[in-house]
Amino acid sequence: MATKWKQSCKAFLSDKMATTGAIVILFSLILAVFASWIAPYNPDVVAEGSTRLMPPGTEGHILGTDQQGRDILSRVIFGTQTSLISAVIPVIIAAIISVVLGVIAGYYQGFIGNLIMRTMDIFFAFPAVLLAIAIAAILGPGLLNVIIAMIIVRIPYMTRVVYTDTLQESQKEYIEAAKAFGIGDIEIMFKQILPNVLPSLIAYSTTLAGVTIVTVAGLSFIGLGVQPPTADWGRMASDGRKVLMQGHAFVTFIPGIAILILSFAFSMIGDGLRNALDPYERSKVKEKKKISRKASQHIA
Amino acid sequence: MLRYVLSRILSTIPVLFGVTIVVFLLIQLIPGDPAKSILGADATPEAVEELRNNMGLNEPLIVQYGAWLSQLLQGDLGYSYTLHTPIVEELMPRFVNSLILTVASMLICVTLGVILGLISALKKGSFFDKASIGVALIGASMPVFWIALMLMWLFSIKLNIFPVSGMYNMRNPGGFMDLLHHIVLPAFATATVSLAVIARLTRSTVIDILQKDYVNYFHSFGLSKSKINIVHVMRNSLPPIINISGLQVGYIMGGALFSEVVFNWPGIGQALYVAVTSNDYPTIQAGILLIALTFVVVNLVVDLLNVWLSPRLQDSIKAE
Repeated sequence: MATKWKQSCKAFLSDKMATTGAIVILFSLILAVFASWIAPYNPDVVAEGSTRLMPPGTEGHILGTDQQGRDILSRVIFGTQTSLISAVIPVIIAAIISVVLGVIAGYYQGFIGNLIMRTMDIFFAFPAVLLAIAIAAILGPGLLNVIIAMIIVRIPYMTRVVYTDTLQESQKEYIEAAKAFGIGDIEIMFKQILPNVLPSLIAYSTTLAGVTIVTVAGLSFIGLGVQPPTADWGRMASDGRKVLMQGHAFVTFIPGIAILILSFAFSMIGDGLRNALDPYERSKVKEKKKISRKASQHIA
Repeated sequence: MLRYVLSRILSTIPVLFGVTIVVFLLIQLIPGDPAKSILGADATPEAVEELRNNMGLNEPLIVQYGAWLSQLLQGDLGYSYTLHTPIVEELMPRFVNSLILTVASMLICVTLGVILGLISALKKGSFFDKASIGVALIGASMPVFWIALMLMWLFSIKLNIFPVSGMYNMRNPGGFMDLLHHIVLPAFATATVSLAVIARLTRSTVIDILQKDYVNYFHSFGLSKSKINIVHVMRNSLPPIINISGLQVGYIMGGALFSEVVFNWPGIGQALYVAVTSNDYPTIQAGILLIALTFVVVNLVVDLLNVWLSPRLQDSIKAE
């Protein structure tokens, strides 16, 4: 087991894009936790002596100020808090619920499995963003309601991933053997099958966290997410819309770049994890390297 | 084959049914009294009670659902207390406008995605290829509303090439060309993310096929390169490309909501935005329902198209 993890770690670290992604996330985590120490100004109020719409590069305000005269850099730094919370928490909770639903559906199949998966099909009938907007709009604005909406929206996708993996695992011989030994269903599901379906779920969840950042920014743009004056990237980009018409694009541009970087970092980690945790993929990569090395030796 | 088509069509019925249940239950999620929330804070208790009776809120849930569904089947989407109109009249013309935007975005992302992917694959490793992989990777992480705003800033405000908002020129609406002029930016904003996804998949599929033995045979037979690439390689890459394009429909429909808001496109998305900001719950409900029902039908069509266009799927269906 230990060597397996070591191998996965090694594979992950050798993936440059994934490691860069991990560093970006770590960096933003530090920004989020220590925001009040790192940020040069209070993000929610107009700093003394600053005027509105100072362009990026102004002394004292590297990223400029918004239409109210608030420091954009400080708001971007504080914005990592809501972005990370609204990306990671819904995905973790949805993953836990999906594991239970997906493993049960895949292991028992039959009536229970059908009931769970057909219910999921109904949710697939909604474009994901639309369903999130619907739920968040009905529950009312605020971070908590956005999190609830995102949990509901992500469950069908994750459950389907767990379900297909469980279905494959349950047909393998070791499960038959476990059954023959008289091991109970619950133990088989959560001690034998679960560890084998978890890697692909973790990789998928990381990718989904990146997607969730973008979706949540969209909800904020419509006015459903975090409420002002709390700094939030989606909201900042949306507020900048009013001065965009007058040619001040940076108020919208900067938070958008922040969303892009964080979301991209998550999806790179997701890709890296998928390759690192999948022994088959890993061996394929190794095989290719071996072949190319042999070929080059041959030529030499 | 006919049996498959029929069973696929029949299988959408429970899904459609489920969609109506979910959309119906949405209103029950409103915190507090739905009637009060719909009418707003300054409604009289009498008005609230009357609406409660009209909506049947005092009846059991199943009776409410039955009444709502039978209204729906008669084409009645409810009444907006904010706009003071039947919702059908408000949403139907907008539905057509949204459809126009969605189709335009789909056309852009599929044609451009395939062309970019194909060129990248044929010129694998070139600067063009590397640049488009980079753009395609990042493209998928951008919020649609942000792309829309940036396109608007560059092409409408700075360069003044395309209009900032609307579907037709307000002063003298000028038919199809006018529409085309207005649709470019919102359609591109909606299409970008899916374009990136389709380009990536096309590239990897074409690269796979180029390494197949039969392509080498064609080369050794002396067939012209362009003929091999266009006729044989492209035709064999079609099934996965069609499949992923079908999957993009949901993203396009979701993304169109944001483009509509940014560019003031008079579609359902914009109506939903107005409804969300004014707590017009019946309109939210109806808008969601319309989009979801369309999505189910589109998915059905895409699935059937998929089977029709790929002989391998047809064989596996016959084998069953």
